[in-house]
Amino acid sequence: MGLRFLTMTLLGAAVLSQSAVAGETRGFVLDWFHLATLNGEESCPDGLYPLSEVFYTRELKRLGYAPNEIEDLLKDFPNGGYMEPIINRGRIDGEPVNVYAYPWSQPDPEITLVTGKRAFGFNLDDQVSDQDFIEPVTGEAGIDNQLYRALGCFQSHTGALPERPGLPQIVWDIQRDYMPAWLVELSDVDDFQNDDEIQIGFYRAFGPVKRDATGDVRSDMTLWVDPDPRMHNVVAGRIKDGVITSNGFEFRMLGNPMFMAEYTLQKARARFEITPDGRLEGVLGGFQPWQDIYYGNFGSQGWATEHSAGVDFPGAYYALKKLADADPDPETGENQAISGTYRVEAVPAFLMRKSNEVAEAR
Amino acid sequence: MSAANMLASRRRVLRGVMSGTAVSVGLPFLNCFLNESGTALAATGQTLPTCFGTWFWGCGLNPGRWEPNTLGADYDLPPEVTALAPIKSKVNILSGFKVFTDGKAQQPHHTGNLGILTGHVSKNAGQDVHPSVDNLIADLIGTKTRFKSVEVTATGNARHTQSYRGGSVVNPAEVSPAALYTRIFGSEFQDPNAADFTPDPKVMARRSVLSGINEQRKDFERHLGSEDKVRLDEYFTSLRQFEQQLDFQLQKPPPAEACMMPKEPGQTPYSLDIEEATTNHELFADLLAYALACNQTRVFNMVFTDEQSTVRRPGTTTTHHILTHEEAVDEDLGYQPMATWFCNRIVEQFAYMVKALDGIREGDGTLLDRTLVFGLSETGFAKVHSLENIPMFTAGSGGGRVRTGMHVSAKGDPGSRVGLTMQQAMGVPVTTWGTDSLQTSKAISEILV
Amino acid sequence: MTVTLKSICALTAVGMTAMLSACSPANAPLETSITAGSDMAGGPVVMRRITEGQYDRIIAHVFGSTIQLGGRFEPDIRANGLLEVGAGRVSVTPSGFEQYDLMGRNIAAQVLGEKNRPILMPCKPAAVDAPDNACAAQFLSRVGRLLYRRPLTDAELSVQVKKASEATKTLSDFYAGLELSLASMFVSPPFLFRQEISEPDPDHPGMMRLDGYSKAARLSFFLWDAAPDPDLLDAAANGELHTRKGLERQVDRMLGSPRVKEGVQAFFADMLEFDSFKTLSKDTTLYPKFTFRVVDDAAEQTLRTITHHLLVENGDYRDLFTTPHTFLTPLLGSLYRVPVASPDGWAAYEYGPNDVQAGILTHLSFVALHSHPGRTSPTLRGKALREVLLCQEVPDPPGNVDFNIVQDTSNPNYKTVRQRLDAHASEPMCVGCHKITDPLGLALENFSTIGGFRTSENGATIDTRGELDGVAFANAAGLGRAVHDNPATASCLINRVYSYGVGREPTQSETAWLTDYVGKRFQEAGYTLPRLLRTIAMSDTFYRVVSSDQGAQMAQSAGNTQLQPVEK
Repeated sequence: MGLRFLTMTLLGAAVLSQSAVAGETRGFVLDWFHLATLNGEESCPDGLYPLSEVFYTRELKRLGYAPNEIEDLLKDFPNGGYMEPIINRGRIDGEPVNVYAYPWSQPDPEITLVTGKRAFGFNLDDQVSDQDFIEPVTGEAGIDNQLYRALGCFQSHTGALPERPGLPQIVWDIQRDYMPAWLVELSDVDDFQNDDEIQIGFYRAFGPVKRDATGDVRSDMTLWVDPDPRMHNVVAGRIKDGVITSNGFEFRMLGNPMFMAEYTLQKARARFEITPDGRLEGVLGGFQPWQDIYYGNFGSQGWATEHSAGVDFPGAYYALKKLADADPDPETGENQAISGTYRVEAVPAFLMRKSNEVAEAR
Repeated sequence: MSAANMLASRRRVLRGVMSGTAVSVGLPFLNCFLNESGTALAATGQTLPTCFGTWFWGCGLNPGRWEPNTLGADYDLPPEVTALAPIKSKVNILSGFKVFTDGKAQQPHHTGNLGILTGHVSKNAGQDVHPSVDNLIADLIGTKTRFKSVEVTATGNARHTQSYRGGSVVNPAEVSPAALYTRIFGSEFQDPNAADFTPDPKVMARRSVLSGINEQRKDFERHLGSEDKVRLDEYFTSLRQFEQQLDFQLQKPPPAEACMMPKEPGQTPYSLDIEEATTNHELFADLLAYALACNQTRVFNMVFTDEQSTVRRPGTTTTHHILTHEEAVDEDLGYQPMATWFCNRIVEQFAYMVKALDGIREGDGTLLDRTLVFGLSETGFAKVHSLENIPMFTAGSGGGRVRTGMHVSAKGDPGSRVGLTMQQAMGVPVTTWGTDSLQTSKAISEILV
Repeated sequence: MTVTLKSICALTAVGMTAMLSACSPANAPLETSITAGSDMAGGPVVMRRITEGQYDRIIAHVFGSTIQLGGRFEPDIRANGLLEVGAGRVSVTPSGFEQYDLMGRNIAAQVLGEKNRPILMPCKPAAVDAPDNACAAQFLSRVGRLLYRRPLTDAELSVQVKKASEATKTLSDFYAGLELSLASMFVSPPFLFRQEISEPDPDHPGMMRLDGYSKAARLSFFLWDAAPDPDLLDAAANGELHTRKGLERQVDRMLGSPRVKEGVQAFFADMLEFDSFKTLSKDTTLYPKFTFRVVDDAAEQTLRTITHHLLVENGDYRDLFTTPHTFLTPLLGSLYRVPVASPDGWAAYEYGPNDVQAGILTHLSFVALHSHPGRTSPTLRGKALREVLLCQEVPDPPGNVDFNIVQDTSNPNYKTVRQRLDAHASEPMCVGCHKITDPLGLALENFSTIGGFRTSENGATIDTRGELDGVAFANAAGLGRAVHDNPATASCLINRVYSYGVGREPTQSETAWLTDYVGKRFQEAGYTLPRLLRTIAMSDTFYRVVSSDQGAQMAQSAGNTQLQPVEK
């Protein structure tokens, strides 16, 4: 595109790409961010977890309802009389409680877990164990992704691209219009095919994404970087044969408080490629507090999502807790974080910053 | 509902909204609600008024693929006119007619329709245009209704009209079905079948106030040159017509047994996207049928695709027009497949218009029977802007004045013969019409009763 | 004698370019005599229908900008490159009258509604349910002067008052009656048409000029695209406008007013055919970035660029075709693929010295407006450049062309549009005209049908070399420089500005005056628009009336050069 000159109308505005670092800089704005999944047949050879009508029947039976009562409660599914007993299927001191707020108040339904060999991600702990996966793209062994093992057999959490996992896709599609956009920036790049030293930045913008006429995220928009340093994640990386990888880093980003208010990934790693049409596509992995995942995606959503997406929320709670594989609590020894991998897709964007911030950085 | 279904439906809705896809608003079926009152109507012996409409499309049809092989009644239906099958007995196909330019440069995609509709080919675009048949007919039959004529276009551009008043004046087309609904059936609509009638004092006051403009006509004209005077005359003609519209609102309207309030169409997007054009055309066709049935107007002009048919299919690079010029003829098929797709869609939509009129029952017949619809294009073979063999249809018998179900071929005859025939069928006292080689006194006797 | 010579000169010239070389500067003595004799040309008056923009502005200026119009205007027609000239050829159709009536009643209802009544009514009626002719007359005469651009005659006022009174009686409501009387003014000829009245010129016995109010209106629509304000009407009433000093005071006041920006934007929106944006559609399946908001921004980008350059910077008109400066929104930036230094609104932007994006020809408002929905068209772009900006007429394609040379975008042998057009050029009937248009349009091939920048088409590198009247260039920036240097560029603007002001093509004698006198002054003033506007607004010619039967011959092609197919 060549060098662009910008006339300043707002006092002290500057294009980030004009900053002091050598080499080329490219900005992107996130189009998609969701659980990285494969298709269900591969990951769950013994079958997917049943849909909500089935596990609700099971739960009502457990609660002591007679078969004819269950039939009656569920006859108008998804509406009808089952809602109240299902929502309040937890028991504390024998009293019914909202099971989404207190998922441990019902027994573990032991949901179906992923038994397939492959999953996206990284070898985050530099070890290879029998719980680890093989990476579908890189072929690497020792991939840590227990998040996928926990959730990957829910029907709404399966799908190999171009198919996306239903629930995570919808959740992202809804929330991205109401949250500041997420930005990625590659800088200090001399050669987009091979470069040993580049810089990868993840930032949050001031405003949300803008869409185009087909409803996709509009590319080549100018977005302003939020100067709050808490939303700045900058890590060194490299490019080999067009594949961009990062060193380990701590990824921290605010999301939409209606869903995941905050994403914190320890020992995070990223791997991207730039497609011929200029999109940035790849994965971001790391260890994430599993309770954040439960309460953000499930606990706060309740019955409406549980029944329509066919995700057994208490089941997910128990699976996440069981499969958590990092950050043991110093007192109980229980792991507080779970390895996981997110699919990331971004379109080209121009990232702007207030120049006074640039000045401060210098 | 599974998450996958939920997902799919959400995406569909989302995409539909974002890409502005038209959501078609269905209208109730038009037929079968009139049988009883129709009988009553027949018993009164009243003759229902005749109606006239033009229906225009651009870029013609493929020669050899629309002209029936047999002449006269019981004609066959070649591939590009098969959509006419259900209404064939009420439709005439006119083939072979051409337009002569008499040495004047052809204005591609304009000269052909101008020659047929006005009997005159102007030298320069937009200048020296003669009035088109719909106006000549409306001057006769359109003066006793609320609207002298109603012009619409499915293309979203008000300039896409085929109603020429003469000089450089055209009747602009309505582009929005919702707006047409408001104009005809909005708050000023008076149900012709309402039991009682009270003239609206507001309309009386408006009528009186407007007469003040007429009172000052001499003063307004005083300083004008002759050309400007002609233009002011046009203004006063429009004013006079508007006053007449108000006059009709002050009289109890004659009953119209088949009249019914149509369903109000929602706002629809309009553009040169053929899908949007089709949605809007169907809404317009249904509204026009009710407008005629309710005696709101007796003349209409419909443009489905503009001169040179610049409509396009979503997701394709080129317009119908460009395709006619640039698409390769498929050697196996013998025609341009993508351009022909548009031809088929166009004839389907003509059939839709005719069926909308035929769906309104009045006594033993239908609204179509007292209507004459004149369908035409501007070129015989768009690929070469041919002025030969320009495809034309008529539908309906105009109150028994036109014989239908006929194929008439008149190779090399001036297309103005059709324009003359339309006028004579509607009772315009004209024997010779047109200029230069388009001058004719030969109406098409095969179809005139 | 001088005039005769000029006429001969103009008659023999085949076009503006030729006229320039034939009539100036070689004929310097002639030039001087014309200059010394000032301007005595002139032409007939033409009654113009007010345009949508003018209607809109009159209502806003008289009643405030909160009034909603709520109607549909009749389509305008374009003549001599301008809707403003077409406005002198149109009338009001029956369906148009219906719309004007609807709008007029709608506006009147808002003006006299309870919300605006206390502000806009100068008096209160004695009773709200009975006529009050004194109060009605006070309101109608005050408003009527602004709407009709002159005081109402006694007869007009008495009709309006009488009708208000009658309607008040029918409806038993003073305001409802007054409302209908006001509404009728909105559909009345003195409002809808700009009628210009001539009178004998006492300074030049035997000659005619516009009367004061007509002069005021012509000046006001010319500079502001709006009706005269009270100050200008006063100057018309007291004869000040007929004095040189009085005219100068008004012209300079008007050129200094913020309203001149709207006037200049209205002129360029007309000349650049921005009315076509109303129906411009692109294939959003192929070009999802092209949303309706983009369309609004695209027209405004160019108008902002123009007014900033011409009015704020007082820049050379020809530099509009080379300037790296423009204004963008983030939305436009996403199409041009450049960053925009404004989170939401407009920001100034400057392209680099080596960028091909330079000048308004590379704006979306040109390259997208003159393209097909799904792909570019060097032919349409070249034709528009010739016709819109150089006042040259490209012949229409002949009627019976066989387009057998197929331009199939998927043909692997012809990846770029240049290759397809070259293949097309084997048809001798076509090549002559395509040579007039395509070498210009091909230079703009770096811009897709929605204006996005690109360097290749179907994988093949785009060759943007081209040529304009013997000047060769490598790309769009070079094309912009060639247009900048082309003598037709400035003379075309003069022709369009004058036509816009008088509502018709210039007469032969006016064309000669424009070419020799105004053209020279424009050049001396560094091709600055305010000076051009002032030169014309201060001239006698601009207000001189020569009726068509007094021998004011219209220039044969109105200053448009009729191009002939190129033989080769």
